[in-house]
Amino acid sequence: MPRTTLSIIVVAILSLIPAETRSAANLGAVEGKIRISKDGKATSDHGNVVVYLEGVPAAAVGEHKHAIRQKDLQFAPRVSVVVKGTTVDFPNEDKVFHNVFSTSRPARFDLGLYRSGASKSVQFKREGVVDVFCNIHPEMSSRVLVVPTTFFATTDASGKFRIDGVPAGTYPIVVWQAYGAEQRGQVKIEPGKTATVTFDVVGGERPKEHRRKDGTPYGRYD
Amino acid sequence: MRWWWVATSLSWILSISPANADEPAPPAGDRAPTSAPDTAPTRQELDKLAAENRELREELELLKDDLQKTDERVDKLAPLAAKLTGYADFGFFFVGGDGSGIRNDLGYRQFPEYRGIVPDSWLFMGDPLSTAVNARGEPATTGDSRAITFDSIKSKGPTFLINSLNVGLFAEIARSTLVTAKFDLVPRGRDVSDPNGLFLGDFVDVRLAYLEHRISRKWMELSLFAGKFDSVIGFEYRSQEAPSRIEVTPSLICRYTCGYPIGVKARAQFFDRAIGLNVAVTNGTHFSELFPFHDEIDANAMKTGAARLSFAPRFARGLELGVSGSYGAQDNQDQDSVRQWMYGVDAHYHRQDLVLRAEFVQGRARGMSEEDEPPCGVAPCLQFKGAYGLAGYRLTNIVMPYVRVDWRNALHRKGASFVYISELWRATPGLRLALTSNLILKVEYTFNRELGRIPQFDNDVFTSSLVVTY
Repeated sequence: MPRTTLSIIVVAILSLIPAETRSAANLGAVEGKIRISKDGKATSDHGNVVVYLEGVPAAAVGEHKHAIRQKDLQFAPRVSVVVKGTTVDFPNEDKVFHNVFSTSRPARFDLGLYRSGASKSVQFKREGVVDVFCNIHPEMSSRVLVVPTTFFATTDASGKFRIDGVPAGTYPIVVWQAYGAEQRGQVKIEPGKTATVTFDVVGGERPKEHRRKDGTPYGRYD
Repeated sequence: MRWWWVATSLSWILSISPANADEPAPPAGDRAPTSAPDTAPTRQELDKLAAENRELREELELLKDDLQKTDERVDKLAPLAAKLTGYADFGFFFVGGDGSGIRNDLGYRQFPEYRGIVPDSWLFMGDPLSTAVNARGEPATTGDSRAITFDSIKSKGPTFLINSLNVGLFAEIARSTLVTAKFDLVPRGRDVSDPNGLFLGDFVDVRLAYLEHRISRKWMELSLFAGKFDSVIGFEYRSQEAPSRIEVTPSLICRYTCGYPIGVKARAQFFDRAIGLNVAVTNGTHFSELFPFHDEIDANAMKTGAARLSFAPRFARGLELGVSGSYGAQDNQDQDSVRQWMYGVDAHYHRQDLVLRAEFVQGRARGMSEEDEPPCGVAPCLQFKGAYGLAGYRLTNIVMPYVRVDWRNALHRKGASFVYISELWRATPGLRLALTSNLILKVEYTFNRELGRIPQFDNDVFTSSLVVTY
C-alpha cells in the first residue's frame, strides 16, 4: 500500500474521534448532592432537581428533540429540562381530545384540540420556565425548564448528580427545582478533576389552581 | 515498520493540536499582526453605527411597549370568549305502545286491594318517567298520569325533536368570585285548537343561576354558593347535561338526585381532594322539576338540609365513593310537620378509557292523612328505592359503547286522587360517538320491563341525540 494512501486512511479514522475526546485533558467534571427540605425537614425524595452550568463555551445548542406525552389524562414527564431551541412533541396517547397550551412568557402557544394518535410540536426558543396545561383537563400540567446549555443534569432520588466533559473554567451553577426557589453559585472546573458542590434547597409545591388559556377558571366539576 | 512510523507520526501531530482543532485556522495575517489594518472602521462609520444602534434600540423599546399593551388588552378580552357557552341537542325517538310508561289497572285485576280507595282508572302501574327520551328526562308522553300532568312532548309516534337549546353564561366579577347561569330554551308544540293546551309551547327552563366564591388554602379548597345550583345528592347530577352525559337519557333515580334547588351551599375538598364535603340548605328537595316532589319556592318555613361526603382514595386513582342524604319539610306542603328524607350511596370509577358507576337511593315522604279518609289525602305519600349501574368503555377516540341497568320500586299515592305502583327494571345499551370535538351522536335502546304483579306492556324506547356544543 502506498504511503500516501495509508496516511489518508489514518487521518480519516482519527478525524472521526470527537475533538472533545482528543482534548480530554482540558476537560473536567462537577458532581454533588442536592438536599431538599420542606417545612424545615428533609424530604425522602431529592430527585428531579435540575443542575446546570451557565456560560460554558462550546455548549452546543443545536437540534434537540423532546417529547411530553399525554397519557391517562396526565402529561409525562411532568417536569422536563430542555436545551434552548429544542423541539418538543406533544403526542396525544389518550382516546379523548386534548388542547395543549401555555401562556408562559418564554413560550406562548395554543396547539388547539387534537385527537388520539395525533401529535403537535413547539420549538422552545427562549430560556425560562414554561408551564404547559390542557385547556380541557385541569389536572394536566407539566413544567419545562429551557436552559441555554447542554451542560445540565437531573438529580436521582438521593439527590446526586454529575456533569461530565466540562471545559476547564469557572462558571455560574444553577440549581432549579420545579416549584421551589432557584439557587445559584459558582464552580471551578479544573482539567482532569471533578469539582464537588452541595446545595440545600427548599422544596415547593405545585400550585393547586391554574386557569384556562383564555384566563377563566375551569368548570363546575373540574 | 513504515506503517508504524506513519501512524505514530500522525497520532503525535494530532495529539498536540489545540482543543478547538475543529475550528478553522485563523488567517495568516492574524497570526502576526503588524499594524492597524486599513479596513478598520473610521470614526464617522462608528458614529453612524452607534446612531443606527440607538434607533434600533428605541424601536425595540417601542415594540416591547406595544407588545405589553397588546398583552394587556388580550388578557382583558380573553375571558369574554368563555362567557357564552352552550349546546343544541337534536333528537329522534320512538316509543312502543302509547308512548307512556304507565297503564291503568282497570277492573282492579292486578291490585284488588285498592278497590274502594281509588278509582281503577287512577290506579296506575308502571313509571310515568320510564319512557324518557332525552337528557332532560322528558317522557315521550305522560299518558293518563294525574301526578305528572305537564306533558311537554306529548308524542303520538316516531318524532324528531329539539331536546333543548342550552345557553350558559359565565362571568368572573372579582378574583375567585364567579356568576354562572344556564338555561334551556325548549321548543315544544302547542295545540292552538285546544283551549286547555295553550300553556304548552316553547318554554324557558332556568337550570342554574348562582354566585360562587372560591377560597383556596393549603389543606382545603372551599366554594361557597348562593342561588339555584347543582344538587349535592349522588353523582349523576354532574353529568346530566347532554354533552357530558354518556347516555342519552337519565336513570330512573335521577328524578331524586338531579334537581337544581335554590338556597346556599358550601363545598369543601380536603387533602388534595381526597375527601369532599358538600352541604346545602335549600327551599326544597334535590328532586328534579319533572317530578312532583320539587318545590322551588318554598310553601313552608322549614328548609331542607342535604349533604354528601365523598372519599377518593389515593391508592385507587379514579375511584370516588360517596354517601349523601337530605331531610326537611315535604315539598309543596303548608305545614312544617310533614317531613321527607332520603339517603344514597354512590361509587364512581373512571380510569383511562373505562367508566363504571353505581348508585342506590332510598327515601320517603310521609305525607298526611285524615281519619276515615283514604291514606295520604292531605299530603301525598311517597316511598321509593332505586339503583342503577353504568359501564362505558371508550374503544377509540370516537366510539364508546355503554350499557346501563336501572331499577326502581316506589309507591306514590294521594287519597282518592291517584296511586302509582312502580316496580320495574330497564336495560339500556347504547353507543356514543364523539364525531368531532364539538359534535356528539348518541343512540340507545331501552328495554322496559315491569316487575311483580305489574303485567308487561309495550313501552320500550329507541332514542338518539345529536349534540353540538359551542
